Amino acid sequence: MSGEITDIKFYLPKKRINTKNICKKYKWPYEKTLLATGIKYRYETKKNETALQLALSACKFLKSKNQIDALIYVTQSPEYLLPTTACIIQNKLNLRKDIIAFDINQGCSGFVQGLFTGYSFLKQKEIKNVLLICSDTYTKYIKKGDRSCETIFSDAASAIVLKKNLNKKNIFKFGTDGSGSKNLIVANSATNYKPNVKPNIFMDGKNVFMFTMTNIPNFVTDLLLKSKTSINEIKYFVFHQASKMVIDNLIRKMNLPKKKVYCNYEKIGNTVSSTIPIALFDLLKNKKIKKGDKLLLCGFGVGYSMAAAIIEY
Amino acid sequence: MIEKDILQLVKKSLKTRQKIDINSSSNNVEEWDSVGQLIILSNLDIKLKGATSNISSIATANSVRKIISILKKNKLLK
Repeated sequence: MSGEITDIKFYLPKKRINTKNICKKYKWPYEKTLLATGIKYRYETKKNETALQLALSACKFLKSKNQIDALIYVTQSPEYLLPTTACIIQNKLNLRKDIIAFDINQGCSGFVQGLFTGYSFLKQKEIKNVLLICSDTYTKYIKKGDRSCETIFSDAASAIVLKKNLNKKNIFKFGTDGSGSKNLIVANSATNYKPNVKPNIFMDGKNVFMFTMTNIPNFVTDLLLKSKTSINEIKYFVFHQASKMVIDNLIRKMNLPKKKVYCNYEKIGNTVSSTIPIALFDLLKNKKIKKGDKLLLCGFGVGYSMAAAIIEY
Repeated sequence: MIEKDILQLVKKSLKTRQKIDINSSSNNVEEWDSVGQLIILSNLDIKLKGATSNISSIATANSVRKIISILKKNKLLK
């Protein structure tokens, strides 16, 4: 592939939710909930605060807007069914008008899919810089008191600048299994919308968990084999921050060194498409990765979909 | 692994004071909720060294009887 990540920023809504308070409110056992999710804090948008607003806030750092040649917006919280939110972002950010801008409707694997799409664009002579934005507000879909979702999902946006670099080696792998589409779904939405029924999210936690346990270890191992990369060569494994139970089990099943697996779900929660970029931001901020380090990124979930990459930072 | 081990695993996973027997299920054990189910699935996979990951039906096994039946069917239980 033909690109590198040159900048990452993210934005969290102001409202922080303490899981302890949620458990107290609904009389859920806090310690047991924490044992499964590991999530102590989540972020929630206000009623009138949308994923678009989060995305724009995450992009405030952008300086050389004129250099952006393509805009990819990963979201499952679009502003409207139409137009494409990416078009609105192009206008709000005052990006050039001669660029391609579109949405990718993907969740937990969306960042890696967006990264692949961005790097594919960078193969084109005329595209030198891509702006990849991930933003989701799943909390708006959660029915109050839904324990599977209200202890997990968090709102956030991230903005990533990709730059052409023909010397970087990046290898991707994808997977799709739509037979699990009904296990994580906002059923009453889009063309299936029924008036007077709230568009709530439904997650069949046990089946989503089993999908992950059954598929992801082999999926990641296949990518390592395909790229002839050993676990030792990977500086960090950055998985989608689904929950403590999911990541702990992936570590166990793949026999990964715990110190090589970055986790930040405890303080942020599962921010869907932004979990991996936020983790990358943390690693950079804490100087845990440097140029040339190999990272294995893996997103998985809603769809079902899977996307993994070994990238050279 | 024998049936007795399953009863112990379920009891330990749910951290319940209730007696766990062949008739225990999510309908009669308070701690056997959605989180409890995940902990049982995780502990079963650890105990059986990853063998349950490929048995999708185990995800919805919400009783001791069903768990035992599925494990026996897959020759993971004596």
